[in-house]
Amino acid sequence: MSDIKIDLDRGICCGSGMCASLAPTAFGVEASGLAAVLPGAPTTDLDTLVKAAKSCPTLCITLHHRGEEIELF
Amino acid sequence: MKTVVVVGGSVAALRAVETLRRDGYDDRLVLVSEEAHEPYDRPPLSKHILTGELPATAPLYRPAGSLLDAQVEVRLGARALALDLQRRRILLPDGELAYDGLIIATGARPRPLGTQPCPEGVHTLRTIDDAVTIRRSLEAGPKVVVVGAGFIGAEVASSARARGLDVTLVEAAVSPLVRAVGGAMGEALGRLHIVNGVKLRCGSGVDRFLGARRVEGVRLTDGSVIPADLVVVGVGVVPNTEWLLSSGLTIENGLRADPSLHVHGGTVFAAGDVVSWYNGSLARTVRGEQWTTAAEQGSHAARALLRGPQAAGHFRSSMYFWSDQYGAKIQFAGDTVADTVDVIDGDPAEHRFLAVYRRSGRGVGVLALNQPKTFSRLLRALDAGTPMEGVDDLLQVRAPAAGSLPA
Ligand SMILES: Cc1cc2nc3c(=O)[nH]c(=O)nc-3n(C[C@H](O)[C@H](O)[C@H](O)COP(=O)(O)OP(=O)(O)OC[C@H]3O[C@@H](n4cnc5c(N)ncnc54)[C@H](O)[C@@H]3O)c2cc1C
Ligand code: SF4
Repeated sequence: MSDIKIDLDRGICCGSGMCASLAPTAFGVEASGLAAVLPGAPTTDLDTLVKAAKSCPTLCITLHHRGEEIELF
Repeated sequence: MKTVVVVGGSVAALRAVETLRRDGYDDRLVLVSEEAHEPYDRPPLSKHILTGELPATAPLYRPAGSLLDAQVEVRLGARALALDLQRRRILLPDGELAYDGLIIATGARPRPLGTQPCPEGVHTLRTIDDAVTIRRSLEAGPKVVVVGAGFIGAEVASSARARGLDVTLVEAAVSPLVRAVGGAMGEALGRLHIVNGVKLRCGSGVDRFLGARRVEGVRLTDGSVIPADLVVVGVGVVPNTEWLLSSGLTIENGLRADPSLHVHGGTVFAAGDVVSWYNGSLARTVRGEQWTTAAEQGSHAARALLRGPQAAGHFRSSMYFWSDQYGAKIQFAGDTVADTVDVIDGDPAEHRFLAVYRRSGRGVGVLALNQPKTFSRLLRALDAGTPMEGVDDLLQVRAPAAGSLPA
């Protein structure tokens, strides 16, 4: 069980791939052009996840640590 | 159609090609790009590539070779030189290429400052090669002068500061980002530079660069001299339309297309930073310089080519853009051509605010600094077709506490 929960709102994902560049073990861009959370995401280190979430052009990634949402800004 | 050609090698071109394949076009598809790399993402060039958080290689959108897997003929390092609409041919350095359908996505390049002489160590930033050159230079610990406090200049300044360097940002206008967000908000966002230790010099332009072979300093129009080992110039972009001049197409602030991005005869369409078109969402003719607009235009142009401009409909866009500076997130959607701007939430002094631009009292644009939640709500609503005019209800705006500022 991981302490980290990751949500990605595909409704506003623009498919830039920033998340996959910065955190390749956690995010990937699918053939549809939208990003998806990969199975390896919960074990990716938290700093890397935060960097990816902060760099997302539309800020569509939200992170929870032990039930609490991480404030990105 | 037997052959569709997409000219350009960036996000608009990639989206066009991918949409053509996804929507069932399965004949010959050629991508002609002047660059040596397959399509890659530009936004990280001024951000993570300069800070060193990403490797000094092109951040490709798709794994290398995947366009070939989609049966796309990729011609890299090939510059289109001219277009013949009658014969439906594109002139390339090694001969002609015939098309039945064409999507023009040649984007834009940095506007040159035109200051002479231009010694070594003065750069602009548009390509991965530019970014790698600037990054190498930053690694040597130079004194940095950035000319132009638009978004790209601002991000370069931010990345250089992240490396602890001495950075001066020179802006000819009275405040940063005037063209992008207007004077009042430009000043508010410009404070980010100051609190992060960048010397901000507004109100004077560059008179000349000093240094015989390598740059040693920048002399401003007010006569002052700023020492510099590295200068990055970011004073806007110009659309890449020279190759179209002899075609007879209308060139006016870029290549002019109709509201559905149609350019000529049901066969030629345009997308990305190269195109100006009537954007119904803003009710005026504009040219975008934003990633999201370019990407969405690429898809739209592809659909309009396959189904016809009528069926594809008008391309309307809220022209969303974002910028990352000093760990902060700036987001904007809509129009900045406005009479007033109200800060409706947060406080610019605390580097967290939301502001609404109004024309004749109606909301036309929204600017946010570090307001991810509210802005995501706005983006979802705009995506769902809510008009920008409804922005007040959407954001539950009450009368602004501080009163309106002139935009
Ligand atoms: C450093 C940087 C940071 C940015 N950051 C952001 C950001 O944070 N947010 C945001 O919204 N936007 C940002 N942008 C803007 C965004 O990247 C552009 O809007 C987008 O790249 C436009 O895409 P495009 O496909 O229209 O054209 P371009 O990206 O301009 O690409 C044009 C392509 O066409 C090719 N080409 C040109 N002429 C020819 C020819 N004659 N023959 C063949 N090929 C040709 C070029 O080589 C190039 O590959 C940034 C841009 C830069 C440079
Ligand atoms: S960075 Fe954000 S917008 Fe870009 S692909 Fe990832 S989730 Fe989507």
